[in-house]
Amino acid sequence: ALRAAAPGRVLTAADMHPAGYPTVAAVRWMSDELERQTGGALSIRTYHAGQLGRESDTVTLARHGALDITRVNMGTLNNPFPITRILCLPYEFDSVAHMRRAVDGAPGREILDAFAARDLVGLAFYDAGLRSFYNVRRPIHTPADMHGLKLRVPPSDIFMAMVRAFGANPTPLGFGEAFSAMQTHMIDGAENNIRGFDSSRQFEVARYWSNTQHAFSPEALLMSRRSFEGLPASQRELLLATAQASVAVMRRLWDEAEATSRERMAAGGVAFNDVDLPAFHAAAEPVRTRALADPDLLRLHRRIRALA
Amino acid sequence: MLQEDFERPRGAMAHLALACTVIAGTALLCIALVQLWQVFTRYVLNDSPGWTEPVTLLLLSTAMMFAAAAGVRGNAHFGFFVLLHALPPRAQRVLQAFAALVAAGIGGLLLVCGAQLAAGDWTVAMPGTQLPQGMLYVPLSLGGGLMALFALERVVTVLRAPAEG
Amino acid sequence: MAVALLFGVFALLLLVGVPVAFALFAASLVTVLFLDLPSIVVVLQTAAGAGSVSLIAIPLFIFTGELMLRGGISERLIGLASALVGHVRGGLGQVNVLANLFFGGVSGSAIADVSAVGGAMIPQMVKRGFDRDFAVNVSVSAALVALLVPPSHNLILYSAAAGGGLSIADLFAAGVVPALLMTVTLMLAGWLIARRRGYAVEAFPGVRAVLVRLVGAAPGLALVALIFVGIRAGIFTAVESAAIAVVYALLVTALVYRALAWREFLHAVAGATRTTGVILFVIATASTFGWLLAYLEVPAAAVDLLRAVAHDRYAVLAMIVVFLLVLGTFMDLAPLILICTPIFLPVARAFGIDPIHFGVVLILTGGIGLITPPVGSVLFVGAAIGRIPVTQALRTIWPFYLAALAVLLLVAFVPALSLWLPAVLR
Ligand code: NA
Ligand code: NA
Repeated sequence: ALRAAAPGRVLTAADMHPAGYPTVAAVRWMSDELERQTGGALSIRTYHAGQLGRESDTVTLARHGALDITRVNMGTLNNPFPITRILCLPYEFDSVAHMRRAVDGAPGREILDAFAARDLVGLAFYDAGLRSFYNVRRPIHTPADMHGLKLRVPPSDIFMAMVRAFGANPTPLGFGEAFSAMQTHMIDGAENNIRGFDSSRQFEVARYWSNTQHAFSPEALLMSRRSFEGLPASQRELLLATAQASVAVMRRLWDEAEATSRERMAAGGVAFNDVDLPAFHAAAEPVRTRALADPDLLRLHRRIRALA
Repeated sequence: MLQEDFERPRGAMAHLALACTVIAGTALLCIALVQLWQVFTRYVLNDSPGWTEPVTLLLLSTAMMFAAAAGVRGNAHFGFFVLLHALPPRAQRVLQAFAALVAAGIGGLLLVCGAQLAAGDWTVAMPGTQLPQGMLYVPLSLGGGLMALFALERVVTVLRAPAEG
Repeated sequence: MAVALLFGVFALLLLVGVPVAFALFAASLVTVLFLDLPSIVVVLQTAAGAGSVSLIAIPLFIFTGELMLRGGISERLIGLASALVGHVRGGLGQVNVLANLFFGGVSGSAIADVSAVGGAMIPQMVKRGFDRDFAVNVSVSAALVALLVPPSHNLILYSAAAGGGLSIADLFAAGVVPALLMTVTLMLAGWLIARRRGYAVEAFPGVRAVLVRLVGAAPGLALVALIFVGIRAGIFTAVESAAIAVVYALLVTALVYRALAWREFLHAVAGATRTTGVILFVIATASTFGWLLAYLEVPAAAVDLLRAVAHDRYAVLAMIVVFLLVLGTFMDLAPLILICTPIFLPVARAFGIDPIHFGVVLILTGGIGLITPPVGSVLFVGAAIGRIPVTQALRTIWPFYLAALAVLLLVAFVPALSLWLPAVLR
C-alpha cells in the first residue's frame, strides 16, 4: 500500500545507498522543504538501498519518465555523458575545497546543463569524498602492488583506463554486486570513498584500505526532463533552488559521516596505509593526457585549474 | 518435442525454432568458453580482461531470449494447467488461444520497446568493450519478435485444430 | 488498489493457463499502465532482471547436469550408491535417496534429478518387485535432497533475488546439513514402509564390487568436489567453476567414458538451452514484478502486517512457512523464490532471522510444494516415469510428506542446522 495519500504531487526518487546515508538524507530534507514551502503540494518519496534497481538502470528509468529523480555516482555517467569524465579524472583536484569550487562554479553549471542532451535535468552535485582502493589480499603501497589484482570499477571507461594504468585488472560491475563478488573471489577489491566502504559493509571482506586518493567522482542528482517539464513553472524554480540549497545540508552531513566512518573502520580492524602518491600521480598521467586530448575536456580542465 | 524438431524439422517455423535453439545453444557454449578464458588469463597470464563480464551478460540475454522464443513454440514455459485440463475441449482451445495471444502481445512489446532502448543507447560505449551499450537490448528485441511469431502460429494452430493438440 | 491489480491479474492469468513468465509480465504491464507509468519500464526491468552476473552460473550448471545425464556420469554415481546401500531393507529405494545426494550435487534442479535418477531407478525398482507407487514416491521425495545439496541453482536464484548481497558459498554450505538430515529421514521412512510391505533385501555385492564402482564413479565424485572446493577455496568463482564443470563433464564423457556421441551432445545442448530459456525468462519477468512490489512498497506493508499479528521471530517464521507451503502447492519453485524473496526477506531481517537460514527454509518449503498437488512438477514427472496416475501416488505418499515436514520444522526452528557449517567454513 502506498503511504497515506498526500494531496499534492509526490515525486519518486531512487538512491542505491541505505537510509541515513548523506545523499538519502539530503533528498529527504529536500522533500520536507518542498512540502513546507508548497503547503503539501509537492514532496518526494525516496526509495533507498537500490530498491528500484542499479544506478545505470535508474538513469534509464528517469530518462523515460518512469522515475522522477535519481542520485547516481558520476562514474556511472561517464560513458553516456562523456563531459562528466573530467570530474572522475585521476588527481584532477587539489583538495576538497577545490572540487567544491569547481562544481559550484561555471564548470559545474556546464556539466549540469549537458544532461539535457539525454532527457535529464541536472539538479545538483553532492560530495562523494576522495576515493581510494581497498582489497582482500594485501596493502597497496605503489602501483606495482596492484599488479594482478582484479578490481571492481563503476561502469566507466575512464575508471577502467585508470585501474589498468596502475597495473591492475578492472572489471565494470554494479556497486551492489561488489560485496558478494569479493566474497566469492570474483574480484579482489574495489575503490570508493570511506563512507560507501562502511555502509556497503564491504569492509567485512576487504580488510586493506590504501590511501591512493585517486579521484573525487562526486554524485549527481538528476531529474527526468519529462517529469520536470510536467511541473508548473513556480514549482520548477522552487525545486531547482531547493536542490541547490540541499547541497550545503548534504556537505555538512557528509563531513561528519566521513569522519565517523574512518573511526569505525579503524576500530573494526581495517588496516589503513598511506601510499607513494607521486608514483600514483605519474602512473595516472597517460590516462589524463589521453582524456585531455578531447577539446571539451581540455577547456573544462583549464577552467578547473584556474580555480585551484 | 524439441528433440523431434532437432532430428527432422518440418516447415519454415520449425526451421526457425531450430535456428533459435542453435543460436541460444551457441551462446551457452560461448559463455562457458569466455569464462574459461577468464580463468586462463587470470591464472596463467596474471591479467584478466575487463570485457568478460559485459560480454557474458550479452551472451546470457541472447541464450535466454532465443531459447525462450523457441520455448513458446515447444510449449516449454511452465504454468498452471490444472483448470485448463478440467474444461471441455472447446473451452480449452479458447483459453489456449488466449494464452498464446498474451504471449504474442508481450513478444510484440519486447520487440518495439527493446528496439527503442537499443536505439537510445546505441551511441553510448559499453564499458570495457568497444560495443554499443544499446546492443544489450538487441536480443530482447529480436527474441520478442520471434516469440510473437511463434505465439501467433500457436493461435492459428489451436483454433484450427479439430481437438486438443 | 494497484497491489490488488498486480496480484489479481497475475492470479487470474495463471488460472486460465497463461505460463508464469507471461502472467508476471502481463500483470506488471497492466499495473504499470494503471499507475500511468510508461510501458517501457516493464521491458527495461525484464532486461535488467537478466543482467546480473550472479545468474551466469545457472545455465552452466544446467548444462553440466544434461551432460552428466547423457554421458554416463549420473549412471555411474547411481551404480556406486546401489553397491553401497542395496543390501539394506528397501534396497533400491535407499539407493534412490542416496543417488540424489550425489547426483543432486551437480544438477541443482529437482526436475532434472527426478528425470535423471527417477528415470534410471523407477523402472529398475519395478523390475525387482517394488510397487510402482513406492518407487515413484521415494523418487520424488528424494529430489528434495538434491535441492539443498550444493551447488543448488535455487540458492543462487535466492541470492540474486535477495539483491546479490548474500554469499553463495555460505548458502551452499548452509544447505549441506539440512540435506543430510533429509537424506536420513527419507531413508528411514523408506525403510519403515519396506519393512511393512515385506520387500526383499539384496545381497551385498562385496567390497571388491564397491571399489570397482567407486573407481568408475570417481570422475563424477571429483566433479562435485572440484566445484565445492574450487568455490570455497576461492580458486574459482561460482560462475567460473560452473564453466569448468561444463568442460570437465564434456571431457570425462567424451574421452574417459567415450559415451558421448555427437548426436547426444547436441541433445544435451538442446536440453540445457530449453531449460535455460524457461528459467531465465521467468527470472527476467519476475524482476519486473519485483520492481513493482518495491515501487508499491509492498515489503514495508508486509512487515507492518506481520508486526501487527506476530511478536517474535518464531511466530513470524511459522506464519511465513505456512504461507509458503500453501503458495507452494500451486506454484513452481523458481517463481516462488523470485516473487517471495523480495517480500519476505525484509520481514525476516526485521525480525532478526538470518538471511542465510531464511534462504534454506524458503527453498525447503517451496521444494515440498514441488511434490504436492495441484501443481507439483516433480510429482508429475515422477508419476509419468512410473506410469501411474498422480492420484495413485498420492494415496501412499503421506509417510514421505511427514518426513519432509519433520525436517522442515527442524530446519526452520533450529537455525544452527543451517548456520553451523557456514560459520565453521568461513
Ligand atoms: Na543441488
Ligand atoms: Na505443489
